[in-house]
Amino acid sequence: MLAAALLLGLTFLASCYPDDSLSISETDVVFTNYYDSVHDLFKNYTLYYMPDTVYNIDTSKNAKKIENQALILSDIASNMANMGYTRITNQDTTVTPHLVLLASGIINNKVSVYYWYPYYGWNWGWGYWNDYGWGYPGYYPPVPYYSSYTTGTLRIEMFNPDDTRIVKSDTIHPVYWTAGINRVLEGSSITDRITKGINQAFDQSPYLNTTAN
Amino acid sequence: MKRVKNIFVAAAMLFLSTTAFAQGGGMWNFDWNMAFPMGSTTDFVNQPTLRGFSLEGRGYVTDQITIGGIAGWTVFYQNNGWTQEPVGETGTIHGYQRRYLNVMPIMVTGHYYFSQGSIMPYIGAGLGTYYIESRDFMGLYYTQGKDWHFGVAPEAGVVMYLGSSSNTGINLNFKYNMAAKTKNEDTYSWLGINIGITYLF
Repeated sequence: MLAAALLLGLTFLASCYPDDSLSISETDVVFTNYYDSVHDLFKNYTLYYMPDTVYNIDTSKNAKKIENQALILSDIASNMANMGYTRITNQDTTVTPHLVLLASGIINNKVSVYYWYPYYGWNWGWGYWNDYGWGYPGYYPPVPYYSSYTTGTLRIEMFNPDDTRIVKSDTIHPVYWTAGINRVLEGSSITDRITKGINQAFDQSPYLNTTAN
Repeated sequence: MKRVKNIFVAAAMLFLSTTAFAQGGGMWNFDWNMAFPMGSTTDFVNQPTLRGFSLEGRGYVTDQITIGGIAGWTVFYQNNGWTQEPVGETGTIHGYQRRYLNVMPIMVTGHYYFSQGSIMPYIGAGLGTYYIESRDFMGLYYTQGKDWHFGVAPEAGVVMYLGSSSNTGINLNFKYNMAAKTKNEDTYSWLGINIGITYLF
């Protein structure tokens, strides 16, 4: 009977995951993706505009403020410069940017889990934007599995202001490139992890380089 | 429902094996399982594991043949460290990657013994199911696969009793484990080296 109990009991046992304690930085994940139709076109784009703000996806009253915005923006700008892009400001009224780049963050929300979903839907974009303001599409692909620890994701998204599509009677811009830098907005050593994460996002996206073949 | 069905299969195997034991004695084996991934399993985890154990009962149906049942649990684990890999056609992910396989076989077994006495070489095979749960972690995120696989496990080994009148001995065997492909999950295979204590009853 003891053997029977053991044998059947095995099928109910929780699985074993040894050695699964991670340091804070080991929980950081960087995900990037691009619109495949423009993979070879990035070399044609050299001017970009990026607002001086890291937008907060969480617009609720209790939303946590996103810290280290200056660092985030300067890290992105230096990586963009290394890739051969020139940043223009909204005072540059004589030129139109080829690309608009938006940084956004979210803290204490599971919304970022979809970054680990293997297929990232491109049939959405910026629902609206006004004076390079920021509109959230409000749609996510389904998520098969996720952990409950998802917090502190920095997102970077890039689109072409001249490329518009009509989706469900909304005019949207398809996202050309996106980076999700997960967890770096929380925990310890935040500034180091932000810089490492942003650098990694560009390192793993060599097609963004305007001098690339 | 699927799980319930498999529990019934396990119970039926046990019933079968205890019925066999009633006919003329048998043996219990408590084995430590080492496992070496083979074939396409090495694409997921290629590191051998020492984390495994099994419990097996065998009952004599003739002087040279036993039938019985086995259940076990083996955990494969591999830490790939910082890893960058493609996701879909256009995505790239970078993170701290760990991979796990939790494997639980539940099988009916049959063995043929070439000789009787204190040293009993044998060949045999198990037929039944492997419950396999795979997890591929990046940081705190993971993708998971889990399914019951049809399984076959041929083996060759030896039981050595500690003295001619002892009913306790050592069991050592080499077992090829093959968990068949399912609708959602790939095939898995590994070589098991199992060593443990045999108790004759």
